[in-house]
Amino acid sequence: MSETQTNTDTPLLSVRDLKVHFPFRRGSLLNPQKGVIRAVDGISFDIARGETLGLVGESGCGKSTTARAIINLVSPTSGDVKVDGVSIAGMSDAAMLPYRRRVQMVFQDPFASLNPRMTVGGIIGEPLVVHSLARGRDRKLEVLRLMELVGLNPRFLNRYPHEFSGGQRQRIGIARALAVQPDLILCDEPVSALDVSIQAQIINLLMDLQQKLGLSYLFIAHDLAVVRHIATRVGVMYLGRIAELATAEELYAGPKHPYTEALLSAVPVPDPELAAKRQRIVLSGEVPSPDVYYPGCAFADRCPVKIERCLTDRPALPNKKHAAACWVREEDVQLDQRSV
Amino acid sequence: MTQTESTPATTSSESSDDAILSVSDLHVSFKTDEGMVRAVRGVSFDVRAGETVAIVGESGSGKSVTNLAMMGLVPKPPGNVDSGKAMFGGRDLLTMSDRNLQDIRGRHIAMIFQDPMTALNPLMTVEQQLTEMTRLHLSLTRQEARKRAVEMLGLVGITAPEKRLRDYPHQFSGGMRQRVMIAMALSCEPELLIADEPTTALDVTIQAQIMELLADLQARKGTAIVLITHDLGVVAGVADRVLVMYAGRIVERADVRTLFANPQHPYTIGLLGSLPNIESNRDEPLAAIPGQPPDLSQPIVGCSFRDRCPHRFERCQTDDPVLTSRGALESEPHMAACHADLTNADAEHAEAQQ
Repeated sequence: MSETQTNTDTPLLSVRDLKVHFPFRRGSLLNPQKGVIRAVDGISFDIARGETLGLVGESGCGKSTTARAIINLVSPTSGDVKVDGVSIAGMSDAAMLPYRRRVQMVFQDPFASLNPRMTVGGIIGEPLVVHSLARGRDRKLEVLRLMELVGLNPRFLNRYPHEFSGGQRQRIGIARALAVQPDLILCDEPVSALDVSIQAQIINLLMDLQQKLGLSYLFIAHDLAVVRHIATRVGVMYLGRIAELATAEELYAGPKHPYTEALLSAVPVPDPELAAKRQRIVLSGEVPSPDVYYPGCAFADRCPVKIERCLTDRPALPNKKHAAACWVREEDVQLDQRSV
Repeated sequence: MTQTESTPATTSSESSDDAILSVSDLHVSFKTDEGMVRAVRGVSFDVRAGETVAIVGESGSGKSVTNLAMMGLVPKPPGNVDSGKAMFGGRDLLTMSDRNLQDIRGRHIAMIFQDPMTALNPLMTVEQQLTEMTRLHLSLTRQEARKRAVEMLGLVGITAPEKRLRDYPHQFSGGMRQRVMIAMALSCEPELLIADEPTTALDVTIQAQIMELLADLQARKGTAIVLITHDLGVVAGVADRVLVMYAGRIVERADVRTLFANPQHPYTIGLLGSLPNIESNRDEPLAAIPGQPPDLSQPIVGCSFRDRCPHRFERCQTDDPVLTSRGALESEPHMAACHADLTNADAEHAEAQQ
C-alpha cells in the first residue's frame, strides 16, 4: 500500500473520484445545444492531520470547485468525501452540522465574504450561535480571544468590515473559521487579493495557527511560490483533474508532469541574475474549454513531449508518493477506466 | 501642499539628454469624502529610448495615478494635477490642450491596461478598434488600415488574423484580449508604451507568453516601456531600471540588478523579504512588513514608512527624507529616501547569514 493511503491511520479527509459536472444549455431557441462542463472530473486525495495540501492550477482548472464540493456548497455529481472515515456524501443538512464544525472555509475575497451589516464581533460570534457553542458573556470572551489569536485589536469588536483593510478583513475571516475549533480549513486563494507585504503577514499567521492548534489545510492558490512556502504536499490540477501529486520538495525539485514543469518554469523569480539564466518553457495555446470531452490526456494539445497514445488514452494518476498522470514521464501509468 | 520635499539632488541627476520622457516633481490629489487624498507627492523620473522602466508599488502607492496624469487621464474632478512637469518631445504633457494631447496619445505614447475586457469596447469588432487609431493618427485608408490590423494581429501571435478581425472582444479569451490590446497599442509604433499591470489578470503560463511578446516587440521596434506592476518577479525578468513607490513617493531607484542585490530602503528590503521564493525554506517565516500603508488623506509628517520601519529613529518622526545617492553602479544612480544608512547594516546582515 502506498504512503498516501495508510490503512492504520484513517486520514482526516479522504476524497475519492470526486466529480462535479455542471450541465448547461446554450444556443438559440431553435438551435439549442446541451452539454456538460466537467469542472472537477474524477479526483482523489487524502489530507492527514496537521498537514497542508496545496492545490495549484490556472483559472478554471477546478480547484475552487473541489473545495466547494468538499464542504457541500456545490453538490458533487459523483464520488465520495470522507471525514475521519465517515462518508458525508448525500447527508442531510442536519446530519451535516457536526461535520461542518470540523471543516471550515476561508474565502478569497475579504470584501465579499463578510456581511457588511454585521459588526466584527457579530461575524466572528455567528458560528458560535449556529453551533450553540457559547452564549452571552462567554461568547463575547471567546470572540475577544479569537480576535487576539489572529492579531486583531480587541478594541475593534464593534466595528464594521468596511472600516478594515483587506489584510485585516482576511484576519476576521480566519477568526470566524476558527470559532468552531475545526480540524481542517479549506483556504480558497486566501492571499491572492492582498498586497505582497500584507500577504506575508497572513501566510505567517496561517502557519503559526497551524502549529498552535494542529490544524490541517487545503490551500488553494495559483501562486506557486506561496504554495511552495506553506504546503507539505502539492497537487497540480489541469482541466478538472490532478496531473501530479507529490510532496512539496519533490514536486518543486523534480516535477514529472510536463504541465507542472512548464508551470514552474513560467513563475517569475524575483532575482534578475536567476531570471536571465533560467530556461523557460513557454507553452503555446491556452487551457482548452472544459465543456469539450477529451478522450486522451487533457494536456496533450499543448504538451511538448506528447506521443500518439496521449491523444486517445487517458492516463490515470497512479497511487504512489510522487505520482504523475502522464504516459511519457511516469512508469506504471494505467488507462483511466473511469473516464470511459 | 508642502514643497519642502522638492528635491534638487534628484532633478539635477534626472534630466539626462537622451530621455524621451522626463517627469519632474509631479503632484496629484483627489478630493474625497475623507478629505484631500494626496496620491502622488513629488515624483520625478526619466525614461530613455528603448529601455524598460518598472514602477513597483502596492495598491494606493500612486504608481497608476502617476501614469494616468501624464496621459491626461486623471478624472477631474475629483482628481487634480497640482503641479509638476512631464516633458515629452520638448512639450509639457501636463499643460497641453486636450486636442494636442490627443495627437500624442496612441500615436507617440500608448497604454495597455490591466483588464483587457473593460479596456476594449464590447460593441465594436476588433477590426474597428484596431483601425480606428491608424486611420486617425497615420491617415491610412480603410484598406491600408485593415492590412495593418491583420499584420499587427499576426505580430502578437493571433492565428488566422483576417478571420479574427470580424470578432468582438467577448469572443477572445483573457490572454488573447491582452494580445489585441498590445496590437492596438503598438499599431502606430509609439516611442513609449505604458503598461499598467499588463499580466496581473492572466494565468502564469499566459503571463509568460505576454511578457515574452512584449520583450520581443521591444527588441524589434525599440519601444520604451514603462511597466507598472506589483510583481517583483516580473520586474526582475524584464526591467532595466526600477522605481519603488510608497505612499505617493519614489522611495528607491536603481538599475534592476542593484535593486535586487543591494536594496537600500527598508520598504524595498521588506518587500523582497515578504516574497515567498520558489526556492524558499518553509521553516523560516516570511519577513512580513508589519502594519499597513498610511492614510494619504491625513497629512504625513516625517517619513511615510516610519510606522512600519525596523530602522526608524527620532529624525524619521519629523523630517521627510529625500532621495539621496547610495552610490552609482552601472550608468544608473542608486538613490533611496531614508535617513538611516543601511549600507553597513546590510553587510552585517549578510555576514550574519553566512
